[in-house]
Amino acid sequence: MIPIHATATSNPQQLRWVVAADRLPARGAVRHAPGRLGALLGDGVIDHIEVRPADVVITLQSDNSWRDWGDDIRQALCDALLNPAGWDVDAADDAAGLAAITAELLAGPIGALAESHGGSIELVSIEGDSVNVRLSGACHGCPAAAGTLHDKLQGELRRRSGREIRVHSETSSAAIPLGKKLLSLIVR
Amino acid sequence: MRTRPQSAGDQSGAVFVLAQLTPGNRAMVVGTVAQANPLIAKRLGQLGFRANAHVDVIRRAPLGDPTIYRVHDTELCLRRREAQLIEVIPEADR
Amino acid sequence: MTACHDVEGSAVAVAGIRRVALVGSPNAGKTSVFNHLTGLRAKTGNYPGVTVGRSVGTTSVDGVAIAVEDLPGTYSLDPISPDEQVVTDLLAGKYPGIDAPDALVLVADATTLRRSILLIGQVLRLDRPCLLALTMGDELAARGGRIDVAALSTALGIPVAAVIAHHGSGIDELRAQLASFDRWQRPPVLPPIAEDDIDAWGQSVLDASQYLAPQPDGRTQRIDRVLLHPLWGTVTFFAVMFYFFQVLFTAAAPLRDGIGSALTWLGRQVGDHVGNPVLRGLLSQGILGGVGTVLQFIPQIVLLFCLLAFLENVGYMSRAAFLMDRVMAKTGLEGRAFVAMLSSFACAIPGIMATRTLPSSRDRIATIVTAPLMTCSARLPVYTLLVGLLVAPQTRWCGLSAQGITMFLLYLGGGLSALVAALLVKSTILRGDLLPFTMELPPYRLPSARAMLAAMWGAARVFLRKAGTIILATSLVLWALLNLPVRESQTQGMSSTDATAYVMNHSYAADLGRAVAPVFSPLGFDWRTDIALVGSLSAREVFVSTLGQVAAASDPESPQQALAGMTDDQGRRIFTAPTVIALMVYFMFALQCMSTIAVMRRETNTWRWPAFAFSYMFVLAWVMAFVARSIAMGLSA
Repeated sequence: MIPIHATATSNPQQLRWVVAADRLPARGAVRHAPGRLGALLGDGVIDHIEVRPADVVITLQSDNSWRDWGDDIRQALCDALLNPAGWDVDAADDAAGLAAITAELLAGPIGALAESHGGSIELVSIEGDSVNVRLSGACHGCPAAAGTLHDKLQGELRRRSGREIRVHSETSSAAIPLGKKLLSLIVR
Repeated sequence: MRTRPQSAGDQSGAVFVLAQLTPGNRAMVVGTVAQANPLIAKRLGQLGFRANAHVDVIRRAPLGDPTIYRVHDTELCLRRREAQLIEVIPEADR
Repeated sequence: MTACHDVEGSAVAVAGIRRVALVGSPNAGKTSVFNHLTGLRAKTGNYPGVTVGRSVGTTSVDGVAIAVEDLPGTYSLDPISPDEQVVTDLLAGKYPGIDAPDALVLVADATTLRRSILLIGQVLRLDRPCLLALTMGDELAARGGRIDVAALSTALGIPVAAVIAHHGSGIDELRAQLASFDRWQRPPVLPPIAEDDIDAWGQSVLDASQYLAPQPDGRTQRIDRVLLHPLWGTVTFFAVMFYFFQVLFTAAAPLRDGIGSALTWLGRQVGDHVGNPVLRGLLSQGILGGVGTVLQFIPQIVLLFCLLAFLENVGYMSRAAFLMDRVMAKTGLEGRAFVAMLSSFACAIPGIMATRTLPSSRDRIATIVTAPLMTCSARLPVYTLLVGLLVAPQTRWCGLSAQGITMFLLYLGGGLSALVAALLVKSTILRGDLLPFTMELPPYRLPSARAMLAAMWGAARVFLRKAGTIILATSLVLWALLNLPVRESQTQGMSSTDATAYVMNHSYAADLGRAVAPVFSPLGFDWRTDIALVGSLSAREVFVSTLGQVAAASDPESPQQALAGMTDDQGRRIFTAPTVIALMVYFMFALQCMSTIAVMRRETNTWRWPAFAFSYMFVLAWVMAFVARSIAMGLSA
């Protein structure tokens, strides 16, 4: 079983199931989930499932109780989370959602990765499925680091949003265009 | 006393039992060996010797037995008889 | 179902009182919390049918009394021994005769939360009103750890109270919550059942609480580098042992002498002011004589309890058990039994009570029935008297005091015989335990004065009450037996010394002594010694004063002179060397102590084991005394 626990909300039929963010599928209202969880949703035992940045909010139908269904749903949820691709999620708020996911990644694992190499990464803008970021510090001098960050960020964004996101990185120094020119001179 | 445990071929993934390690070694617990008495296996698990737990070998008694281990933020001692029942994967010494 | 000892009068029996139980692993500070909540008013006993100790007390919140029970420490509700089954059954409401508690207070050490989350998950699964008392929060912070208590409470779904047990902060808030357990927050979903799943759940909960595990305690590491060092550790260990015995023999001496003088003064007052000779005799010999020796030992015993409590609470006892485990394992016991045996050098009563730390009930019983062989402080006055009779004070062997050497040999003999007896018992009738030896070594913590007081008082109270009542009662009975029937008519014309001697020689005690004489005559004891032996069944110290009375000595407290010259009907000296040696050996092995038997009964919850202990020790004492006497007679021939 993956690490997971449930916390109460103001609605007794609704619980927040707290899971590590990197295990969550795309954010938004869930239309269909794999396995037993999907069955419970389809049968009406579960009224509503929503995937949020750090948890999954599950609301039971009004005449079911969590005491009866808790163990069952926990097991079903864990099994379903092992297969994030099988979730069918209504990505609720596109741009805001994507911005939120990107911000979370930059504040979290991607940003930490950049820092560990002595550099930093920040969000410049989002246009549709394109995300523009800026690398600075040690990162901008090193094509390898830039490449790694780019691939990781793009991979995570695609996984979490379920869409074909593309990441573009600007660099904040004139050195790189010069370097690229030199490189292209040599290569040619 | 920071000796590496003896290992044929010295693969980093070789499986040992806790009793083979010496003070200063560090390891990750796999579980209890198959032939362990289920009651003892249960007790060892309850004390913290569960899968993926990190174990440090701290020191041995002057008379050779028991040995103090640190697992899950607790220091406790086990006799060789029980330490032989815990499967571990050695990690780099601290 | 019979109620357990001493708890029958407690509030538990009162209908309608709410009951809260403390659950937690050993070393979590549970007992500390219990003591804070219930004060020193807790009653201890046993759970019906087993040798597991039970502590129940009461606390009051806004005038409402609430019973608080300190359940035995446990690592998990999945038991591996019948003793641990007690906690699991009790919480499930399946323990015969005891209802499940109304609410539970989980006591967990914040520095070992990653391990105890397993127990927390299991207890929550019981679906009972539950509150978590988190202890050692200050130590967590001091060692670089961190936890968000409010987030923990949200993640668990139950109220969490931070308590710092050793100075009592948070206790009042905790107590205030006890009355309202119906309104305690309950988890929306119960934690999973399987152990691996609880681990996953626990990890999630601790992550949500921003839990950062503490670094290993630097101070403990530095101290252990010395105290558990192969050389320095052993040296320190023997130094502690030596100091222990120093306290035993000398530290309490001034207090003992003080009490001795007070008693002598009292004796004089009785002699001067009490007219009635019967009453005078009763007071001076019966009460002051008998109880006097015991009273004189109290400073020594209390000081020893204090030292033992300190070593236990500071954390050194587990280190001592660690160092001695290899030796104890040879007898079939384990390191913690060493602590019980060591305590028995002071008095078997705290030693027997210390066996509660042994998880295996067979180890407990084996230690209980063999610990009295350890040379306890009560044997000291007897040995002093007998050694004085055997060896002249100035004698020297190889330059050392002969008396000192003899004493040392007697002490050694007692110690070795206990270990050998444990070996025999564990390899025959109490054999075979699959329980593994696992013992936590908690960080060194300076014990609070309150904890020390509670530990000391708990042990001392048992000693004082049992010893005081039993010894007092026996002294009175003995006095009566020695001085009745009052032979008015026969002693009409005699002088007072002759009259006393006549009454004594024809008293009930004398009849008793003559009746058991055949048993002891092969050992060279005459009927007067036999009376003293029978009398000292209550307590060994009584032997000296009884012998003094019987010998019609002018000073019953040091009857040496009178005894040396005592002769039997044929005019032969009674206390010859072989007889004295036989007597010494007899006392080395015999269980001459009602209080010990009473405590044995209480701790093992049956009469079977005390009866067994008494019988085998009597046979052993008799046989060894006979052998010793024969050897002595052979050597002197």
